[in-house]
Amino acid sequence: MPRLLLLLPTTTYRTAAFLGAARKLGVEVVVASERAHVFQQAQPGRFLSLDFLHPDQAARQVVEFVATRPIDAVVGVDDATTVLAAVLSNALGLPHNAVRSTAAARDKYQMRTLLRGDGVPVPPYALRSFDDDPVVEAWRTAFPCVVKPLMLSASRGVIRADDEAQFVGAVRRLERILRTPEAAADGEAARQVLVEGFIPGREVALEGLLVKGDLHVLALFDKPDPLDGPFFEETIYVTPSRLASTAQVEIVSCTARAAQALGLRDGPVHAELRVNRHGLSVIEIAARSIGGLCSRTLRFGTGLSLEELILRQALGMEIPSLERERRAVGVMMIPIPRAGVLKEVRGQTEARAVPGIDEVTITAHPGQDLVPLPEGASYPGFIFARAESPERVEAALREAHRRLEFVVMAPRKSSEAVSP
Amino acid sequence: MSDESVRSDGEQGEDSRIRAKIQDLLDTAINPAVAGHGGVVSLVDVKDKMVYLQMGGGCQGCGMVDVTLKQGIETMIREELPEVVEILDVTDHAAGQNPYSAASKK
Repeated sequence: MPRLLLLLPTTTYRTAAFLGAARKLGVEVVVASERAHVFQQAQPGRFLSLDFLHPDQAARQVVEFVATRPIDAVVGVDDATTVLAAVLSNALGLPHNAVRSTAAARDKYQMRTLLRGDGVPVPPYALRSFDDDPVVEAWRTAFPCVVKPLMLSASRGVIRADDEAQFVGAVRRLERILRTPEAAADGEAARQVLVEGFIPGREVALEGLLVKGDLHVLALFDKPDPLDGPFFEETIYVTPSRLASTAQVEIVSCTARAAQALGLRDGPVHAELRVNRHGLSVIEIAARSIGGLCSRTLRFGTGLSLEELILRQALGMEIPSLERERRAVGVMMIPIPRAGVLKEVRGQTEARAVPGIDEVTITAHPGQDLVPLPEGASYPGFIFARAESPERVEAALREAHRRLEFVVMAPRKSSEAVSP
Repeated sequence: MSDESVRSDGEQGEDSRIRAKIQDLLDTAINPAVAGHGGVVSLVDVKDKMVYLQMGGGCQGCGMVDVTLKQGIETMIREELPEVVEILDVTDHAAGQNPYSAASKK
């Protein structure tokens, strides 16, 4: 039985999906997290606790571990573990993307620099430090612009500024976000800020699988809600895309060039691009698959999940098909209704009854602090739909969301704050 | 006629034996471990060698509950009781008010 080292941060949404895929494939799993699991002592062959922030130290631990329990592949499930997966694979002599490629994909400044150097269109950008005076920096910034952290994902800390005053406010707000212990762990990257030109237009997300350097498109998602700021809360993803086929071809070609520019050759990629009458801009290409629970929308061949594809590729197993099912599908990452403490979510039965709705999953728990963007770090839940056309999928998602009622109490005073 | 009455004495006896062994595992190994994260696991039933468990406290709604169940609890049960057909979690995780780990975006 093949043995897989799965890098699972304790805060990932992907645990059930990856463990379910491994089980379906008959793979033995060793779970590595940043904290020791309660059963680690009882089941030492099935758990590892690794320092995700110190890859070299983690690599030494894993090398010691495999001396008695060989590992056939290392898979990181999300943003926080992509670089570590490459470092560990390298240490074990297992095939994987180069460490420098995954590191570049994780760092928005490095990524843009490599993409621009290879002629891949990216927004105009500049690197700034929180040590710089934002008032002075504002004078040399063109507006509108977008202020971004180098490493956080899912639009956390991303703020649009249309003038100097907004710029100063945005930079100071981002600095506060990056002072949280979780973000500050990114070290020097948490002391820097990416300032880039705001690109108007529609945004799309491409989910792909790289196989020996060739990009295979798994899905191209439209994001029908405008993402114009001041914050960039992602809500609805629908595939197939309704863009003209010529635009879709360009998006695929641009994403393939972006992956090549970073040196990514194998494994999942998740790219986000802006499309307008002037052409395309690559906003991001990450060496990971789609986040949250969104992968539940995707089924391939005879019902393979995205996680099964990823594990099959990592383990060198045959991939029967990369063709997505024919029906249109979509997901809504439910927006945070307002800041406060979640009491309950009403209307779930009514939302599930909307034709085309597959599933409504509330992931926030009663008593959880709901924190909107740009500070927020979690979704209240997800709605999934499947229908004959993208239009029907989008309509079903909107109607199901309309039927949900979030009962939210006043935010806790800071002295009462609890962890999520 | 109830479901229970159509099952043979042998089947019921086998389930009773599994029930007793799992309760012992819960009391001596599983619950002392998950208590470290404020969790608790209860045996709801054993029927036709299918085991129904309920998770509470820090385990209810925890983002790592599948790891706890599949990598930890299930492995321990199967080592002792390889004849168990399936182990099912019947917890309403959405109602968990104090999960030990919650998912986030980073």
